Amino acid sequence: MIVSFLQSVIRFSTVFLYGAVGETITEKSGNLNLGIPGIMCMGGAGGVIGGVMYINSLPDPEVMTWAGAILVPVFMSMFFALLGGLIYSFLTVTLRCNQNVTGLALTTFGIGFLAFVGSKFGTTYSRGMSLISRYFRQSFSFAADLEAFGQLFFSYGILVYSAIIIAIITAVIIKKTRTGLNLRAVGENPATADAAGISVTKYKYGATLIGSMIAGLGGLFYIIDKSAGNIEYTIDTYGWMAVALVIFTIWRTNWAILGSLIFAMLYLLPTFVAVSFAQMELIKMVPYLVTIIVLIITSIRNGKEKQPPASLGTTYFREER
Amino acid sequence: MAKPIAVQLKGISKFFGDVVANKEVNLTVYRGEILSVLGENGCGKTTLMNMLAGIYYPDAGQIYVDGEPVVIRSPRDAYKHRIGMVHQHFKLVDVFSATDNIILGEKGPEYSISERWKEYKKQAKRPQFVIDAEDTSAPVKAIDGTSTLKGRAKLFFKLAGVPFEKLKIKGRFNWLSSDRGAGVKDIASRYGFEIDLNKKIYDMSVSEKQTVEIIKVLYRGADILILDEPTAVLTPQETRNLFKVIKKMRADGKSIIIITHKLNEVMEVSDRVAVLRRGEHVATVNTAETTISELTEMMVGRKTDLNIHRAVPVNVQKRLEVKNLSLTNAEGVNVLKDISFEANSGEILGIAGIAGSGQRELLETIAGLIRPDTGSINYNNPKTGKNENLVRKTPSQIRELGVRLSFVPEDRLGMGLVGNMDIIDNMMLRSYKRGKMPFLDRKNPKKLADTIIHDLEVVTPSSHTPVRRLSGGNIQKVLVGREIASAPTVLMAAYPVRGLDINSSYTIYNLLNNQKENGVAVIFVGEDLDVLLELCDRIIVICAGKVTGIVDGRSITKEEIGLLMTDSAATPAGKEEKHA
Amino acid sequence: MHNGSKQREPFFHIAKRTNLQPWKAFAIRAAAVVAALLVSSVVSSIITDGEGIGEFFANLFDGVFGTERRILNLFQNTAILLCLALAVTFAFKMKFWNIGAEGQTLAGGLACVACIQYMGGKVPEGILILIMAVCSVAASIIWAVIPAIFKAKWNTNETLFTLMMNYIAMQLVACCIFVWVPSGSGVLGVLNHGHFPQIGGYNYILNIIIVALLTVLSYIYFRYSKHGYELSVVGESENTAKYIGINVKKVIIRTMIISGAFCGIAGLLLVAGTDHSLNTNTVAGRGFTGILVAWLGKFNPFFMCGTAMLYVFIDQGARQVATAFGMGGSFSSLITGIFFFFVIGCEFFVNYKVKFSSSRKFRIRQNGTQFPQGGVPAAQETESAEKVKEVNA
Repeated sequence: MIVSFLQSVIRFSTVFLYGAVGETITEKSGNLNLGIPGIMCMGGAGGVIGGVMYINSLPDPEVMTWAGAILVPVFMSMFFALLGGLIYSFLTVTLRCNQNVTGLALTTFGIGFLAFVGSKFGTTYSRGMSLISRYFRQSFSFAADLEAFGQLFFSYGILVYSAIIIAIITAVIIKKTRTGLNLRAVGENPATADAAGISVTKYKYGATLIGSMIAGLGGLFYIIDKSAGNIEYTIDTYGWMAVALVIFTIWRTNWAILGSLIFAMLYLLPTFVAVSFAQMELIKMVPYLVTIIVLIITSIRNGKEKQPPASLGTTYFREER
Repeated sequence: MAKPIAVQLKGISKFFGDVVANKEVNLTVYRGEILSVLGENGCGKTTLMNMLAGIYYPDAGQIYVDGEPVVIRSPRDAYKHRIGMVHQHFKLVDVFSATDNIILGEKGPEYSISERWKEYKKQAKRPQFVIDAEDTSAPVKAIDGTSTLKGRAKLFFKLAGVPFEKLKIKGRFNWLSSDRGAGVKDIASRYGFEIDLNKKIYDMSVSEKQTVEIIKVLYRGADILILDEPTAVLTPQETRNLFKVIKKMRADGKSIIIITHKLNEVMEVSDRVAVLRRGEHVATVNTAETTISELTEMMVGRKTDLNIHRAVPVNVQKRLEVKNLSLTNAEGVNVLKDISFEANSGEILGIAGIAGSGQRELLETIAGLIRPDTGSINYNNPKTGKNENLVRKTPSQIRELGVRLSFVPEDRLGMGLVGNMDIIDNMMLRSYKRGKMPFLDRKNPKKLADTIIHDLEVVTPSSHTPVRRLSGGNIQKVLVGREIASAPTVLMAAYPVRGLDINSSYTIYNLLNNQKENGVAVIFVGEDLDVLLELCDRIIVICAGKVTGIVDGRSITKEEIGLLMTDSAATPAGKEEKHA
Repeated sequence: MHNGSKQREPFFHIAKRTNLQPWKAFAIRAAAVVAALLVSSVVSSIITDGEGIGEFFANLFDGVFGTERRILNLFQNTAILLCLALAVTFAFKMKFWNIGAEGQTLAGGLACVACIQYMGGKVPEGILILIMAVCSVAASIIWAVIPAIFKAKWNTNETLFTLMMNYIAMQLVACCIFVWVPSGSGVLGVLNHGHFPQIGGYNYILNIIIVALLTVLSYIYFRYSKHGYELSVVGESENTAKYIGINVKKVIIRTMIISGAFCGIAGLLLVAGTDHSLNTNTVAGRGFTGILVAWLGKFNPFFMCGTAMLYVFIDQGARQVATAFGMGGSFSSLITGIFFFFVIGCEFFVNYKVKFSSSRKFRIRQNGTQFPQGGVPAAQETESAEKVKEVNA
């Protein structure tokens, strides 16, 4: 019982983790991307489109290869998330539009896009999608031999492990490399970075696009692994939780691994303890309440290095006087 | 001129909308010289230098470096041409250490895959001499190194390894090792900078930050250094140190451009002076062959009387009495320490000190914006003769007591005025609450706005123009005009002439003098010691939140004030408390 | 020796506009809307495998103006959206990023439904509606003021706080519906009590009147009242507000109370005026859309009437297009998304101008030597550089 609970917690946390890592990278460059929920939706929709493309390309839809079933959806998911990130960065970086408004518009668009893709392919391709999902969920074959230990650590699909690897690599890059140093400088003080010869535009675009692609994988994971190929439309909620998680983990992706586990645990608690429907709905409030409490605590406790990137939410124009 | 030319500007123009910032400016900088760019505030000297540093892009004209035409589109381009600039507002990342700020944006070693390939191919193709072992009499054969299978394979592996080698080099450079910035230390010791390179910027004093900026520019290999108003924030003693370093750099063959409006510094340190007026280049002269008054004339365009008329205070009464004021700010730093002084009607009280020594906090505490920890602020009401304690009262409560306290804050658009509102709405800031009606009265503010525009000669399209669009001098006139309009008995002004041209500055000085003669107690926070000495009747010197002396403005010298400003062994505000 | 990139002048150059005539700004925005519609029609043509572009526009207008009922719907939907946009405007004018209008409205709606559940049929309709109004406004105010208090006291991030409050409101609604609907289906049917009266034989007229009234009132509040003035000072600069003695905390809380009250009215309009029921999706994202509408309308209540109607026009029209072309309802979100991207993006051309530089002109003037267009041959360049050196020597 506890093992299966923890197992689903770890699986579920991956959605938050992808979203939070993606958003952290973006915010480090000073872009407050409120379009992340929409981008995750687009990533999910892209995965579905990729799956459909792959199924249509097969002579026999029942016979798939590992590489095709995984790579095509992943590629398409990242591609569509990239498009979302491109819209956002073009509007906010090149055209210097308001970040919050652009983000909200992108979220609206992304939710609509996923709903549209879902209504178009959801029913006709549900069999094929669940087949593809099986490749994504394939875990280490020795997991079963190790009993509880194996189930806890080796029973997940490829996207779970890659999420953790991406989170760790991101944390190292941000903290320990010049690329990360430059990125942080852009987010803290773009004028300074610019004067030091760092291309602010390039870093803002780069961080937003890479962050978007990573977040897009979160959407893909939710549909294809967590929901076993059924198209779910609640991704935007998790996207918003990922945005909250970024604050919770004070812009550190290695902490996001732990943070996403906590969030996932809170989310799944109701299904394991609830008695009636009404109570279940009430318990579902808990993660949101906890987020609020975390927000309040982080705002009360202050520290120079625990603050968001100083230029977060503002657009940069070199010749501003 | 024996010295070679480093940089040359030809016909440089820059426009901001309809405003001409620079017009057809020509300027030459030689190697190994100190050039001052002199001009009033707002004459376009910073804009001109920003084009050299790649912050702005000129609308017309051409820049030459070492005689060759160059295009500087970004700071990175500027560094490529070995030009570096220390901006007046330091461009540093607060949460980084000094070292990280200095190595920021540094380019790694160059490594071109294709060039390395070419090189290897050339090496491999080098003819190899083959000696036939059996037939020693046969001539030595020279064959192409790649003609044999072994040679080709060797070459192939060599070529294939190149991208990885590049990756290795780039990766090693990209990695932030804990002993990064060894070169930074060398530069610091070569020019005699004393600084802890591991310190975070937010823990540093202004002069330390400036040092970091200069080291940064040197580290990036600049031969041409531009310093924008480097002494504005320094004490006389720190200024002297800076000039020493600058001269050392000149001896090293570097060209240093100093942007300034302080004439005596120009005379002290520079070899040549370029004077700008209203965006145009007036002349470049050798410092040795000119005088202060000649420079002033070039700067302002006509001979001006630089003396401020200082009347002898009459009818002096105690108006404001500050006693034992102490304040701890949000970061837990003790910014005001046991401050006591009196401000009298009919006199101007100056406050001198290094920027950030607690001047701002002191005025804001008196104005009721900040609550002090301890102490009292007593106001003698000239009408009722009553004595009111202003401590722990909000600005509106102070006003309700009948205390007529006006305050011209340092941050004009961020505090004194609302940039996006028009002049009328800004006039209302002080008076909108009048009357019981829940609705606004815009008629009287409109009248006031028109009066101020007329009397103080504010240049504006109309009273409906957002103040953000006005020039610095006009913004300040609007602000000071409004504060004076409420017929204050105490007028506090923090750096009221910062960034203003000479004419506007004198308008402001005259306004303050008029108020003094009308019996107002004027408190003036200034940064230019020359002005303080000419304008003020008494001067309080504060250092790190402590009063280090209250002196007579007529008899004290600049050097004496300078010593008082750095009283406690030149520690800036709040530093010692942090370590305690 | 220089390489090519060093010598290249920037291709274009961006500068801030100082002043743009209003009609030009309007023309830029109108062009953006037209461009958005054209792109939308092309997109719809692509994803429906070749439905005509003319067909798209015909259906778009038919969906909005086709029948009397559709026209009434246009106004009704505009009214609700405008009400929410007005609500967020209060917050946004003081830079309080309230993205919780959704939850605030839902809380108000829930209070209305609770009144109907427990008092419906027991008190006269008129009084019931009054009680509903009071309860709805009160509930929304509570939802709005909690984040405001924390923002005022500890500067807690209001964006995420209000967002979380949305989800809490949704869960509360879901929970209450399970309590009220004994079957456990989780769907609340149409309620029989607490309906707004019809005016002139039409539904929704009262909604429209109320919102029109609110629009005028809020305009007066923003422009002519002391409170409105304080609110804009706080929004522009908190330091200035403190400097002139405005109690910033009080203004934040007071303004959020008004903002909440507007959401409460929107909740009342939704429950009593249009839906006569409630579910977690009753507000349907209009809390977010309201922000975009308010921002596009420059936070001016009268401009916002226009932007709200424009949005509803496109949304409602796109729904008709979707029905006609056999696509799901989500098609309209795609179209409105494209619409938003264009109108947000066009602000760039309102605020900045792009100057294309021709590098040739400068060179001719400076060196007196005419270079052929498209790059300078290396030899010639060195020559001219040397010439410069000579001149200077």
